[in-house]
Amino acid sequence: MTTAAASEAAVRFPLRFILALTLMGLTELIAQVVLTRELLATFLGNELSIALVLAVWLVSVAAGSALGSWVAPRIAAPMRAFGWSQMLLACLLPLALFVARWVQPGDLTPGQMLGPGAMLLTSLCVLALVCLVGGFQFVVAARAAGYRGQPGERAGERAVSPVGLVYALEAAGAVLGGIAFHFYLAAHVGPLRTLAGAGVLNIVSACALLRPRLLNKSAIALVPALAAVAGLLVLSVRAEEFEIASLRGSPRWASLTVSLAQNARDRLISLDSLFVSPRWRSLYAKLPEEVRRTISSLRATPLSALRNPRAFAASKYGALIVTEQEQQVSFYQSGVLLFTSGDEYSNEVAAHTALLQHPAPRRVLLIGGGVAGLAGEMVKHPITELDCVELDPRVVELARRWLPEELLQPLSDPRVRLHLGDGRLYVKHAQAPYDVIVLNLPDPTTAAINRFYTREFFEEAYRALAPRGILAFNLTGSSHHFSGTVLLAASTMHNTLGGAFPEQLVVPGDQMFFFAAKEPGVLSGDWRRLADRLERRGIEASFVNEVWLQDALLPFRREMLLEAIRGESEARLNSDLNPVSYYHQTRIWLDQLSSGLARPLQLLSPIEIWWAAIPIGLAVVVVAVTRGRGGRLTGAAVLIAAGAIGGFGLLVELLALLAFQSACGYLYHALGALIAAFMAGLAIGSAVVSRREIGRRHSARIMLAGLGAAGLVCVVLPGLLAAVLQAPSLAPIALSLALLLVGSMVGGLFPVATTLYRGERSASRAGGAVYAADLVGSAGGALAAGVIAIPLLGAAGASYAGALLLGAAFVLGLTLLRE
Amino acid sequence: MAWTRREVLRLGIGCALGAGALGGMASLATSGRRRAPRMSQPDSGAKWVRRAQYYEKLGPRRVRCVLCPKECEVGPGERGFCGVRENQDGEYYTLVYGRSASVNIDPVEKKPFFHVLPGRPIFSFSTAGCNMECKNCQNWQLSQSRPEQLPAMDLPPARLVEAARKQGCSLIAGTYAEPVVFAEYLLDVAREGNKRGLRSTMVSAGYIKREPMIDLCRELAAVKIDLKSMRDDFYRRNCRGTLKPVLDTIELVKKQGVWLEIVYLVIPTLNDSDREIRDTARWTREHVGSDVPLHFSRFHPQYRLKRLPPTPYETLARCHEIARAEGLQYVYVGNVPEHGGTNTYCPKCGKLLIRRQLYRIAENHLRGGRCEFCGQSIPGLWS
Ligand SMILES: [Zn+2]
Repeated sequence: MTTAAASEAAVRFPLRFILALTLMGLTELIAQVVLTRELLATFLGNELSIALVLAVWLVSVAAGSALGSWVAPRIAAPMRAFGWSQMLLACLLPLALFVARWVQPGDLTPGQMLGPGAMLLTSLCVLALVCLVGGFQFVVAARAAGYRGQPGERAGERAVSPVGLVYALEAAGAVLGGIAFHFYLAAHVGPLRTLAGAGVLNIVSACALLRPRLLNKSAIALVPALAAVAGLLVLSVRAEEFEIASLRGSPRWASLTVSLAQNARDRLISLDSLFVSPRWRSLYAKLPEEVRRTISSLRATPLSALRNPRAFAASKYGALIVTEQEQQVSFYQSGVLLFTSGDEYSNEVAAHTALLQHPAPRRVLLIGGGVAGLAGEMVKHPITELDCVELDPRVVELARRWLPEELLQPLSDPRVRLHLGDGRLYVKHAQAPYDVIVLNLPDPTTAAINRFYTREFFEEAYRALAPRGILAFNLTGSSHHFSGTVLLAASTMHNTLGGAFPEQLVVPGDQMFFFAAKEPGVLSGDWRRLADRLERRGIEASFVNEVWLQDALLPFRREMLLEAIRGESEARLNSDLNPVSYYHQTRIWLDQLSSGLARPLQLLSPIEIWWAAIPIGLAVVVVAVTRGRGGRLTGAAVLIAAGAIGGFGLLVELLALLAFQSACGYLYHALGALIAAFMAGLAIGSAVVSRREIGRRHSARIMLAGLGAAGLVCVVLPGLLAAVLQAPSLAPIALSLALLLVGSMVGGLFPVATTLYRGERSASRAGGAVYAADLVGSAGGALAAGVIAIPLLGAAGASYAGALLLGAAFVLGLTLLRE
Repeated sequence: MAWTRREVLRLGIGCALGAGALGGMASLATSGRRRAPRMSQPDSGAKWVRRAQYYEKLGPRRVRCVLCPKECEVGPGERGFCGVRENQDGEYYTLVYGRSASVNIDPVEKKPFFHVLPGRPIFSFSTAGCNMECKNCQNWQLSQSRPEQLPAMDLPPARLVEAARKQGCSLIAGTYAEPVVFAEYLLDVAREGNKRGLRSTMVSAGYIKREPMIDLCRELAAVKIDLKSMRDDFYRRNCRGTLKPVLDTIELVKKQGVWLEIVYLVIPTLNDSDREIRDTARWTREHVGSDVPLHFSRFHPQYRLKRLPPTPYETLARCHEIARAEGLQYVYVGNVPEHGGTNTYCPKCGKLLIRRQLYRIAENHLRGGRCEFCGQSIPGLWS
């Protein structure tokens, strides 16, 4: 499909220009994915932080293109400007990565969590330059497209939108980049080399674009640029080695470099010293509290923490870091502590509390934690089979290399089998029934982990259990204090679990344990019975003994928790398409940071779908008041329409990913393919529409029809998603088609919006503004849908709310018909 | 085509009114059914308000709190840093007298007290609020909340002591968040308990001024102080407090003859250097004596320090070794398998006196507070 677009474009554009445009999209996507992953390794990878990074990205690109649309008309030779922007980008890419590793508070130093303010600042530091140049580049390219590659010849006003073709080629490049990254680069090539590679391609392309001028003065300027990039390349190659291999031997130069870099960074970030002088101190005191807190959170990060990184590894599921301190090995993924070697206490507690609940466990399924030492505790029970499911093969590989021998031993026990893959999928297709299923996973802070805490998953687990089987998992909690958001989260879990199992038992503690049984009478809160089982099974544990059990199961405490859970009126059900739990976790996280965002997020919790109708009311008022006049309003209406369409695209993308994961499991490549389908749709849509000559009035009708159709899609989408969950085998094809369709709608409306917005403005300028609106809309869509609408209103509710917002854009768009 | 000023105004006002009306409807529609009923109503909070014992008047309406070294100066209608004390018309009040936000029963070893009635349950309670803000707080939901944000149990001292007795506890602890901020409440609980034969303890960070601490020492049977670091810099950065007052409190408790145990939470890379551990042990020996138990406890990633790993066993073993080498007689480390750091040994004959497996007392060779083997007296509250 993309080749069709390309061949069509080839009629108009020279090949090197087509390649440069495609490369622009490819570079953009790769830079986005690599840098986002790099940032998430520092932030806690929850939905809010992902949306924040995405928003920073999109808004900075939008700023770049807004800047571009202001500057573009003044540029005499856009093709050369395009070439130079590629050259600049090539230098900035590796630089951004260095900034990410160097300036951000704590890449190897996972100590303190960062608040949203610090995240925003860090993301800006890392992304701003790359994004500004990227956004600028789009506008310059659009303007260059007007020249058809013939320098010196001014382009006339053409009916066919060259901006649309630029958009199409960029999207096609993004598809290629996405495929390359998801299928190869993420797992096999480190981030530095990936970015440096993209940089080299950009330089080659820039040379091709600048070729006619290569022999004059600018060629001399090229030399230092090339030298700089070559230097960065060499450095980056060394750095990769240093990351993956040489740290193991820790050669002197490596540790020296690390300590020098950290020292310098310490100094950079310790803004404290700035505030020592009285002049600065008074200024500092005048800053708003939120700003001061952000600054102090940046400065207070212990940069010397985790002195000994042992290994870095690229994994498709997120950057992995292994650290070692006084013989304790810890594993981090995307900045989250996965597990640590010296944690017998947690392992004993998680393994024995679960297996002691069953009178005679034989077949056991363990999701997560098998390589971390949980398996070793479980095989102390008289079980016959233990199936351990782990998602990331890279983690298993690293664990085998770095964990101490005694922790790995149980994995060679003949009863233990290790399965690599998605646990949810495994449970769905589990053949023989299990006596006990134990989930050992982090709290549901993200939509992906939340899949293990939903009603649908509990029902699947129910089916995978033997008649007297039990399900066990744990959440962060408290042993003595039951209120606030943590209680709300526990209460929601209790209700959800109760929907699938007839009996359950909750044990309060720093880790709260949830047990659910298929038959009443299996679970027991009586510590004597469990202590008796412990003794009869001859289990020797360092911590879990009869006194521990007596304390953990203290009736006084359990009754207080149950009472608090029953009194919690706000609790809802957590389901695949109504993932409220990750909203709770986001709130807990914001509470912990005493962030100013905690309160607004809490205030949003009574949100209802009809709130989205408010903008329609406002739009009606605006249209009514301005009746009889056209003009001024239309520009804004076009931009709002473009933003609404951008947000619509992101909403559908998020919902499709959510539904796919519940239907088919977390399949990394398939998720990449879904995103590629959407991008391909963008390319096709904008390529097809750009080739048509469409008048202004006709464009207005198309835009309105597009908004209406988008609203309609939002209305029927919940039905489609429900159907997909009913027939999982259809999910890949149905969702890809839906995303392709929606992508082509979004892509197709882009040139239409540019035509509408253009009026007296130049094409590239209009393109820049519409592009910016599209990106801002997408960013808003990502934040609003991902953080608030989907968890609180559910997939269906978010979709209906989207329809209402599109309705508002539609009403405003009616003004376009006035001319 | 161009808009007149009047029209712009009309448009603006129309939008504002529309939005205001819709917003009002929204809040009306939702307020009725969403309000959580379990929260204590503002007016019912009045029964927990008591005149504070430790403050000075500054002019007609301002006060200065002299309970803790923060010495907050509080204007009318404002609260101190802890959020549980309020200036009402020039007088200072505590808002949490009898307002327990958390009640629990723990093994006494969980506090940890190792030289206080081994194996006994201890009735533990806490209100909201804290006069510090530690980045690794275990009880952040309690400590960083204001009283009205948490559901509370009405447990005035007499009722609390009665509840503890009913649950079979002979020990009471003000703990979890920070007992300093509910000093008046704890004081009266301890008095009431002393009348009825229940002994009270305090599990605190020790960030308190001298006068109130002397009052508390008169009533309490045992005090556990969390010494978070031996560096003032650590206190300032991670706790929003300072070191000196904490050291003063530790010395004061010892001088007042109240049973004292010190806990040092070892946080990897933040306060785990050999030097700092040695300074801690040395200070303990020189200022309160080598027979004061010093516990090195294990950090678990939580609150804002979620991304640090738990303390390595080796680190804890190292701390144990350093403190023993400094001459401390009762050094304990928590949760290290096969280390024996939770056991009590006789400083004279070196024999094992109390073997603990987490909270279980596996062996106890103390007879009337003396070593069964050589008769050496072991300090603590044993009966
Ligand atoms: Zn002895």
